[in-house]
Amino acid sequence: MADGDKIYKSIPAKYRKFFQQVIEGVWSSEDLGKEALKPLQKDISCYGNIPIELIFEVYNKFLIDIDEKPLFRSLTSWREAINFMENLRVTLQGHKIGLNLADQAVREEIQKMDKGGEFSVDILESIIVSYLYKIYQHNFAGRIPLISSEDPNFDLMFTTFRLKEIEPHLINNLCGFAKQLKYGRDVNSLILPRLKRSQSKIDLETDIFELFETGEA
Amino acid sequence: MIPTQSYSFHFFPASPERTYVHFVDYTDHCQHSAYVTVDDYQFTTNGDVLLPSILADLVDISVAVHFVDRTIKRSADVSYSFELMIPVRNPDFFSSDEVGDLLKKILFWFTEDFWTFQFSFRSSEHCRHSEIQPRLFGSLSILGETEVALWSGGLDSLAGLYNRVKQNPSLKYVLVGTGSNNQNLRVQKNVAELVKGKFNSSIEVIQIPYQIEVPEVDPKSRNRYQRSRGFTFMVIGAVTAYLKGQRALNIYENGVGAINLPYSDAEIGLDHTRSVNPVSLIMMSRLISMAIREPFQIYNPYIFWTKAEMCKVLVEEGETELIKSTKSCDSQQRNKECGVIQCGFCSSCVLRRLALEYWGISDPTEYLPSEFEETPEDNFVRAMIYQSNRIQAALVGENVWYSLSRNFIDLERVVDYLSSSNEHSRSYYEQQIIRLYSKYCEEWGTVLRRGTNFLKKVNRVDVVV
Repeated sequence: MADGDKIYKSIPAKYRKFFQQVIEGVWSSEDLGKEALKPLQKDISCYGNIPIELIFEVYNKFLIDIDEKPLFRSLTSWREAINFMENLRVTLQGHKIGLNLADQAVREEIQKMDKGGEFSVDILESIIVSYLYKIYQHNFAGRIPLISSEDPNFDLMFTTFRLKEIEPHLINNLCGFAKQLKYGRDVNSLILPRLKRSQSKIDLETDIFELFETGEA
Repeated sequence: MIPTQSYSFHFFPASPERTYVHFVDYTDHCQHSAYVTVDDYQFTTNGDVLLPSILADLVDISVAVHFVDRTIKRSADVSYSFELMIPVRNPDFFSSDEVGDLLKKILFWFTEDFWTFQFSFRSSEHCRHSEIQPRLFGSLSILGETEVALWSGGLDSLAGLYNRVKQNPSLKYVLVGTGSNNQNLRVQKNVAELVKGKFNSSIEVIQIPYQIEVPEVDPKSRNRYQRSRGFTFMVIGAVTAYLKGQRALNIYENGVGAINLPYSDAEIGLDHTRSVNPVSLIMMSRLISMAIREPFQIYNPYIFWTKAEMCKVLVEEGETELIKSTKSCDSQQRNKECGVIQCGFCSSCVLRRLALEYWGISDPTEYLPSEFEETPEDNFVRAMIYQSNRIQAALVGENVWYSLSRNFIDLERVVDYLSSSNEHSRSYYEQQIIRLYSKYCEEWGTVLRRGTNFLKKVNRVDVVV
């Protein structure tokens, strides 16, 4: 009794330039990790502050003690935290996609602690980074495997490889955004890191493994 | 602050079965009117007991919800606010915090919109026939044990019933079909007739159709994704089960389709329907139990089966005609040459093809021939292969469950709900889900290696995880 699944077959207009930069291979991974922030910042702003508020609410009620007093780990009721969030969702009027992504980021962090026994050094920051990364996945990276691009430069294997290279740089930059949000900055006034560009060209002919060995990638 | 789209709907009973609806869109203050009709004649003729007023109310509420869901086209970004004013026979019960909160939570889960209700008293002059008419003739349930199941006319419904009848030929089966699409109702009836002709065991079909007429709204502007359908269908199925003296409703749906995980990291929330997700079934069981004041269970016996596993019996028995008569498609095409035909490329058609081709049989289903496709569609095939590769990659390591649920966090919620509402432990459900998805990946692997017909269109199965 399925009633129509939805998939994403194209890249939103605001990510097209970034997409070109990724597939053309002119930019280094580090630079691309910064370039991704430009369209991403627009999405973060579009989703508004409510998803961040959702994260704060759950954190302040259930997770703050774990950050401050590790002995509280065993006393935390993970199920209660999830229930609290589910009830909160029914009352919060915000961007639907943003709230879903924030909800998922909280669930994943809780699961990491509950089932994996993995505790981030800074739980709140970790959840916010995860939320921001999910915005990037929803609007860009997660779509790449299924897009129908006619661009002659587009090669799925190469692009996937490039996205994996970009990931640590992007996450590093997202930590910067997360710190700003953690200390109360509004989603509309996030400050981008300074973009300083290197010019090593990476294209289909480039031996990516060699770049890895020489530390250029 | 994200602006919320607000609508209010006022429902007025015009006759026992027909309701007049007046609604206002607060963004432009446009007003519209419509009619909703529920044909509950078969509640009357087949029921063992009169329709209790509380269940009559639930039917009215569920159809009202589907009316709203279908009529209002939504944006993906915003949750809408719907205020429904519905006259019911038991306003105190439905206005209580406990019921109201559960109703809101369920509808938010199904639609991610905000639903508020104002219940007024519905006078007895607008009682349904099924509330006041005595039963005309005896029904099957008094003759022996009965199983009531929702009946969509799809391949899962058929395969599920076929398996059940093979396992328990002495049971009586009551199949409940519903909906507002006449073509689907016809398919339900046709498939049921074919199955009835096949088995000597008693199979009864009950159809409770409803109609939605919105003369002022262009049909093309309807909501394409009617995520509340599961809510409405389960209420109607549960009410029928109750009238048959049963306290359970079965839904025959394969586990992969029911859980309906996202294919990629881009999909989120309601991009995939939750119609028959185990969480939906558990929430709905709570609502029905609350209404009838005794335990009621909505149950999917195939939640840990793949579609191919469900279809095995049909393949072994050579039931090609039966298979051919069913409809799985989400996106039926209307074509001058072929008439109305299943598309062959939506996710439901692809899953159907996989299930049949896995057993190495030639799929007897008539799909839209590729020369009539406006745009060749291979997207869902690619999406599903990509998903299967992701699942396969996650089914590794010392803690397979952790690895799988790290990649598909929705599975944690499914196991949470299953273990808190049923007799088995968490680890039991975790193992069952691991087995389900391992089998599903194995089926994709087999079909891909074989390189069957429907995959020939996919020129880029070079999916990368």
